[in-house]
Amino acid sequence: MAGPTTPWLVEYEGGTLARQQVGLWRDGLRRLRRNRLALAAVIYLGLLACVCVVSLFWTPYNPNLVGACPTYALPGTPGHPLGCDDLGRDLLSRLMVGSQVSLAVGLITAAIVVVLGVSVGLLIGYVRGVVDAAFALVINVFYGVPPLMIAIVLYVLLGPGLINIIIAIAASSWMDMARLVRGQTMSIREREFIEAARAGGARTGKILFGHIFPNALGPIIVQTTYVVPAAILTSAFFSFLGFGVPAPQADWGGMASEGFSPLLAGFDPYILLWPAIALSVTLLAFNFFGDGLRDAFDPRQRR
Amino acid sequence: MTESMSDPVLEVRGLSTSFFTDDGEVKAVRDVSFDLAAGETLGIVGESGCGKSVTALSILGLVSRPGRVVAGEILFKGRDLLHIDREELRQIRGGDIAMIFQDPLSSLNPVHRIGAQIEEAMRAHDKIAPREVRPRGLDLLRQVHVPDAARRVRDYPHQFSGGMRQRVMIAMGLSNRPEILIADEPTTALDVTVQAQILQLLRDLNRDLGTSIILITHNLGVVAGLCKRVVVMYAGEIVEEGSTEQIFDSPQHPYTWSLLRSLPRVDADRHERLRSIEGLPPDLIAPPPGCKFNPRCPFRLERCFSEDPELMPVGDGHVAACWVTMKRAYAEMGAGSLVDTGPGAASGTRPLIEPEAPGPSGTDGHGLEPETQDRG
Repeated sequence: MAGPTTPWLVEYEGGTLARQQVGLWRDGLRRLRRNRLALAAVIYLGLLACVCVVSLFWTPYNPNLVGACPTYALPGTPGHPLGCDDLGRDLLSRLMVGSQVSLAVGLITAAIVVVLGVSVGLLIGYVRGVVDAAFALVINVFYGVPPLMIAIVLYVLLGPGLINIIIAIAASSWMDMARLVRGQTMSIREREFIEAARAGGARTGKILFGHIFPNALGPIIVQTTYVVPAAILTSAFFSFLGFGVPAPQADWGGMASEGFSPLLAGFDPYILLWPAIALSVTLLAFNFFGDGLRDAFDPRQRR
Repeated sequence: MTESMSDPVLEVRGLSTSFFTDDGEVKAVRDVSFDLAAGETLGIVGESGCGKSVTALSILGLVSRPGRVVAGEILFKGRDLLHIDREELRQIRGGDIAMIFQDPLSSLNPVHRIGAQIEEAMRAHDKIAPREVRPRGLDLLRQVHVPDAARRVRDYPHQFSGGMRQRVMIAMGLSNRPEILIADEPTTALDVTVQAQILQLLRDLNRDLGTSIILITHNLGVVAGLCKRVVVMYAGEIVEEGSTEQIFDSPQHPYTWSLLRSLPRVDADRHERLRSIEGLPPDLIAPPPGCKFNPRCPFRLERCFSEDPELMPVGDGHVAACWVTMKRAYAEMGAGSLVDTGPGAASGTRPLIEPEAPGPSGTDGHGLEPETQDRG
């Protein structure tokens, strides 16, 4: 054993016989890496994020420029690999820009859901009693309100906009997170280390966020990866119905809607096809990623 | 009881704690009183469910719903812990009165490093200057003899063995220099050699730091190794209290006597069976009238079924709550040669189990028929 001068490092080099210990995170990431589908999903999502960032600064054409190319130009037309829509806008450019809305809705909604759901869930799970009963009522009321109704009300009151969509979706999906965290909290609070922390004089905030929250992190992360695709899908649905982001801003739901009437009019289906494919693959990727995370962090499923 | 010691740091007076369940009020602790002097080591002994742990939790105000302290006072240096505000109580928890629990495997948060948890215990209070927290954490681990402490502060709890984790718990408990350390079954989850080490550690800390220790256990051997004074609890009440010598050499309550007889002994006859106490602890919702131990007591009298005995002096600083007491049981009931300790065996009063079938109490080959002993 080395001298006591720099305790952390020197003694480490003293040659331990213990097996290399692997922390929760590293172990989880290792498992995630072994899961091919999840890995593919991560790679796809990484690429999507790059496309999204690039589209903020550069697209082949201005996505909203009418007449950038011949109306209904077929895919493969020189300079327009994905073709053009009924107004002659470049579909590749619009598809790229559309990723912004999807990712923004997905991630911001997820952030709101996590903050709100985790705080409420921790609180009512820990305090229990009357507070819990009151919030159970609130949560059930929220369950009864369809997200579309909130979206329509906000649309009428505030006009169309991305924020309204996010609010509508978050308001209708935070309860699942709150319920999950509440359940986790109720079981973790009975564990002995919580009692030990209380006996040690830990403050309530410290117990909630320092002791209970980190122990519930696995399920919270997994739940979050399900919130993201659900939010993207809902927002696309809103846009398809016309309650989405205002025109001419491109988003995948809106583009699918725009491609619907040309399809009925007998033109090629590709205007509808591109956003539909982008949407499907993205949702699939988020779901595979979520499954991979669940497998990686759920100790009961470890092999 | 507090002779030669300074004023008590902790006085528990008439403490009663109940759990209000759907089936009724479970009187887990009833009218419990005891003192703890500065630097003293007190053992609280009893079977599972006799109210030992609830007593400890009541002291720190940690009894949670549906439980509640219904009566009594808990005076820590003259201040009643049952009537101080939450922040004051929080400062006392872990600051002035620390507690360590039975299962060191689950008393540490699995997701935080050992060092961080010890430091956290100090940061929850204002007693240790922030600058000293980190070096003190390391010192504490060395003080409780965690080998290679400087490296191990960065480990997670699952990388520690049970005994090492209990040492960490003790280090955490001591981190704020508390005046009282309540150890709730600190060695129960550990194997015997590790038990001995932990007890030695507690003994050293008591001697070197002057920390008073309340040791809660069902294991009389553990008490003998550490405590100067012993409180014996049964069915939520104190049935006997005295110095360790008094309790071990001349137990006066039949329950204490039975507990001592159920201890395995190295020097016992090789073929002797262990004696258990027949029956189960009483239902705390509707305890039997009279003495709570009467359904299991070999020396019970008619009086034990109707009148609940108070704690009465049976020696210098030695009290017991019994109408018979072992002095009389030895003198009149032949307790010394009693083999069958079934209910009412010695006195023959209202036997609940008629013609005593050879039970687990061991009538193997000794041929002593307990029913023929003199009656009370």
